[in-house]
Amino acid sequence: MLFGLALASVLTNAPGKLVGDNQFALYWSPGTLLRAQVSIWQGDQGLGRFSLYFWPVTTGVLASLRAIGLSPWLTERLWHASLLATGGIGMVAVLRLFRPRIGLEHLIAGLFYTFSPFTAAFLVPSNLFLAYALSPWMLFAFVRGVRDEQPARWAAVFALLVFADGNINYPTVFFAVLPVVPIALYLLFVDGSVRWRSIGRWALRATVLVLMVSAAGLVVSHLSSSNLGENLVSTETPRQIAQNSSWAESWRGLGFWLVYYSDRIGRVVPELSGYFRWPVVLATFAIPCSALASLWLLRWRPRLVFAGTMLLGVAIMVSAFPVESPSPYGHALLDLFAHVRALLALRNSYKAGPLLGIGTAGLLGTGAARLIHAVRAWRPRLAAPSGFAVFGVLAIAAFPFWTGRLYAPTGQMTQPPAYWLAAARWLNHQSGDGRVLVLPATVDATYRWGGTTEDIVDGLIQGDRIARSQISLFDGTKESANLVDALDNYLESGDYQAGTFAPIARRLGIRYVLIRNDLEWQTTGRPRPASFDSLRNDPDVRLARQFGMPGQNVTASRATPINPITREPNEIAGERRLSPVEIYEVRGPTQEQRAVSAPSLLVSGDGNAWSALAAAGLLDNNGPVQYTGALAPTDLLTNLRDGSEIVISDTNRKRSSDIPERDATGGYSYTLTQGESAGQSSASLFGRASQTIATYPGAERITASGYGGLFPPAEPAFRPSNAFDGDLSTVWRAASSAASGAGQWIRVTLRHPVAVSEMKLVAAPAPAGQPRILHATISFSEGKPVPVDLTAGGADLKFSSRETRYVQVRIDKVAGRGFVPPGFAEITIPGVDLREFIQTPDDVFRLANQHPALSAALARAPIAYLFDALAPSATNPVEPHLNRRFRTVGNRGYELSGTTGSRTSSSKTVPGVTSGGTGCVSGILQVDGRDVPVRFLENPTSSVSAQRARFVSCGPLELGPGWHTLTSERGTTLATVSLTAGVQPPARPAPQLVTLSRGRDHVDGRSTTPTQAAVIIGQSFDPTWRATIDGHDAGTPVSLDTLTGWRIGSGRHTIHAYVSAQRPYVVSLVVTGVGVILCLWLVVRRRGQRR
Amino acid sequence: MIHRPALRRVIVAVLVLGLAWLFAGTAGLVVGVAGLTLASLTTPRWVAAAALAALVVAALATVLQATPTEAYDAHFASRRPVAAQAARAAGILALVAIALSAVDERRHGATTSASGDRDTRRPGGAPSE
Repeated sequence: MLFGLALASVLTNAPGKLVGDNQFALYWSPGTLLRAQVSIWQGDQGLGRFSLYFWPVTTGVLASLRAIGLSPWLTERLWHASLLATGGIGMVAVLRLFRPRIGLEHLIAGLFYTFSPFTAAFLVPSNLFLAYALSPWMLFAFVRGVRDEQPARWAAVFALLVFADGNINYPTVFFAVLPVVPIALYLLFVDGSVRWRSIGRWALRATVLVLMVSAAGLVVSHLSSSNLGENLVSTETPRQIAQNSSWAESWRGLGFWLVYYSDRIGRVVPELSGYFRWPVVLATFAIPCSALASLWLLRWRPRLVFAGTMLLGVAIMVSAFPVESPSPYGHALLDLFAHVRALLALRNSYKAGPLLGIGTAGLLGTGAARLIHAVRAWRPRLAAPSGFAVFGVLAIAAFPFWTGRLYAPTGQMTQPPAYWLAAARWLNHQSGDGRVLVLPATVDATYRWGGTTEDIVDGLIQGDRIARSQISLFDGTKESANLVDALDNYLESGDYQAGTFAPIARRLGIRYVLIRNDLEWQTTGRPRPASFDSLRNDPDVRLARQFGMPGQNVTASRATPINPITREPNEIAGERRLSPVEIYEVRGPTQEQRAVSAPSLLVSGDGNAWSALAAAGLLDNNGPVQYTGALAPTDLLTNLRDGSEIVISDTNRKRSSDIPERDATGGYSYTLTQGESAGQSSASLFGRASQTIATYPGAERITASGYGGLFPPAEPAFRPSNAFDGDLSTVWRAASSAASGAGQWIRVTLRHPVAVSEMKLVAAPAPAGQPRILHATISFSEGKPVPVDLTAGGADLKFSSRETRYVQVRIDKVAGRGFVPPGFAEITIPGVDLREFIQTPDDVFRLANQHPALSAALARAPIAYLFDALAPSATNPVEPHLNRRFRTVGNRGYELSGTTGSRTSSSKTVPGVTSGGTGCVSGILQVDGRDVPVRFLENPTSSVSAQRARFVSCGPLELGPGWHTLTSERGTTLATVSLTAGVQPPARPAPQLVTLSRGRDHVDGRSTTPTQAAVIIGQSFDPTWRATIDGHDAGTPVSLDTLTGWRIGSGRHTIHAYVSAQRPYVVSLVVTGVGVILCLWLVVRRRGQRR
Repeated sequence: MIHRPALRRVIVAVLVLGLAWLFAGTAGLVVGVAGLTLASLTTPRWVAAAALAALVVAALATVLQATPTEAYDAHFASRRPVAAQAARAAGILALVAIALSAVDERRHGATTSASGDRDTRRPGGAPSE
């Protein structure tokens, strides 16, 4: 009956529609997911990475359902119904342990465990819900195991349940097992029906068997721990999770943070909004109230264990609420999460729902059944109404199941349109080497024709593809994932420069670019179709195929010409002519596996430097990119002696990263100073010295309570240092989560104590109807605070002099509320230079100081400094001033070149430059405070925002060893500046590599090279890759172009590369298989076979 | 000489107060003491009744303190401090009731079965209502 009800409810919700659930491929092509688990390495994902999941039961069941011909949506519904019913029947089984005779109480308990506010909120994603469904059975296996004389059999059942869950989310398994704790205490200390020895005997067997069946899952989790770790630190925080998990909300089975959460797209879980209407609120409270009434009135001893289980569940679910003043337990949790990264896996306390479900179901079922029986005995006529009342309350509390509101209305689709299927078919039939890069990246995958909560690409395209994920390490290992992120950001920035993609694509083995023009970009914040026009018009790519009719699902059929969220026009010229799916091919040969001979290009920076490297032509003939942060001094020296050019870039910035919105692919904080903590979500690739940092001549750091976003770090365009840069057009805005801005503050921690007796404050401009600062207070380390009246928008202040180590301005009073937070355009402290300088890494120079040979080699090597202003965020300029601090070695003359223009959208003029100017002009930029005259190579218009204009210095720039500064002049917008010295090494003869065979975990090839060279196998760099060259061990690989490679000598060589972790993984698969067989044998063997 | 059941009750009371403080801070400690006092004056069952009453207050406060509508936001719970505190009190009182009832049940259980063998009693202490 439970299964029938569950099936009916899920089939009547969004009938015929596949709804978003974990992964699109899970129901579209589960067989692919199942087969992929044979290998520990997933070379077709991004640039290659370790497997993330081992879940053969889920994928096996779904693959079987698909194999017998069920459609994806029906498969999904059968799976959902099975999970719901499994949980409900398990609850009945648990209750039977204490009330063996099936009755009304079992029905009520089973119904509640199946249909409740918790199950409505947590059914999707079903990979997490699986543990909820299995939890009662785990409890059942435990009780039978400790009571029964067959502990091994029930330990085996328990182990099989853990195996069924896989490694998809171990924290949910942890919470699913927790009900064992209160029941063990009950059996030991209250019921007295078991002894410690029985529990120990069962637990020992269960532990051994669980370890056996989990062997493969544990190996996968261990190898992908960095990926999962990034997931933990860059997604929801413990404070966000605890924002609504009050005791009241947790008692009624809610409190799940996503249910309350909205972003600019809207409510994340709009289908559950009915839980906040008062009749439903009361119905959801009626259930725990009934449970407590059972605790009060029943004279049934096991009520205590159910009540204890329920209470433990609520206490865990509450977690750190209220986050401003949590309980000692909540406080300790927040501390632990802050200091022990691995524990963040347990931050989602809502996963403790099985405890609440089991406890409440047991009490509710028994109490309600007792009530109905009592009423029947008292007034038989009232028995039916009382029954209706009980089931009515249950039905109201689980209303999404019966009202078609179980699934999110936005994440539904029948199936992808025919043009998508045709495009995938075409790509899957292309022979030859090469990856597909999918643009733009999307997470929620909201198309004009429907959508899922996950990208459809992985389910459709079988070959190697790069579709950037929300979690960067899902696209590669550390360096390669960073490069995928950077490339994706660059191509989607709207600032693409023709000719820069192909050199990168050839190095990464990208042959095709799939541009999808049918995304709902207006609501999801993804780039609009026209933003890829520069890439479409790049002569290095050609349109290979397009799918769908021009304009089909490309433009919105909207009445409003301007989108209210993006404030962009809903359609711009040319978009209607685009097909929904376009496939471009990179011209020229593309090989994933390559041999290269030129000396490496040494880069101090990270993947964000690649676009600048390509623009500077440094990726055309140079050898593979190697990051200096990853090289030992001897490796650096060897490369420099081999003729390597070295590039110092302003990338690999010290920033924290986060995922600010649903369909966003990761955001970064502003660039931090040396002393600032980047937190656990630091985007650092290497050590500190290899990072680009912010520095202020007069301050150690400039910080604020928050800035320009719902969840910090959010909008670097509104970072605190903007208030001290001497430019009224750049502003600091408070975090928008504090709608009014009152209480927000900004603070300068000065480098040395400074005497301050006057200041000037200018408030940030407030759009009409938005918050405006009325009063603020300035505080210092010494002296009394100074109140400031800002009703006029600014203030010139004079006060008694005081020597202070910091200056803090706090917003006290604000007029109005709104979504544009208040802030300051300028705060001036006379005599203190607080401009932000971005300081390039000096890791190479520090090493050179310690190694004279390296210093000498560095002074002779061809060197380039590449400074690139950050692209604007939406329409807000992030770096209108290109201020850099960099270090040099030796006395050298540098060629300076650069571009003005479109890195920002602000229209600035280039003073002194007229149309067609050919002479040298001043006032563009300064180095070490001295003007550097430049000559424009192109015709800069008076407004340079529309186009770029290249310039070069009028003569070489002589720089001595040490630190230098480069600053753009006021009123000039610089996009890039580069300094170069030395001569690039000549190109060497190109070696050849023929790929003989390639599998998920190995690559075989044959190379022919006239000189010393390197082979790159086209897979993300990871030291667990190993190779034999001509049968001999090739040693540890090196990171070349962020991919795995080895140096080889001249001549012909046969290379066999393989993932060394595959062998232990196979062993773990065997152990798991043996464990499962052993468990099955222990479960099914006849009693006579037992001891 | 201290009577063992009495000693057990003291130990349990200390444990309960510790847990009340851990999960609900000072307010939890106060509610815990109140619950223990009520239990000493009556029986643990009446503490469970008090827990129920507190949860009913939480339910009413949720709908009365700020009328719930579908226009809720991320501050839904923090705008209802009375509901949060009453629900927390319900949790602490339930903890007191469960713990003290368990002590009582254990004492009574020992009189029905000295061996602890599950075969000597109905599974799990079959219902006696």
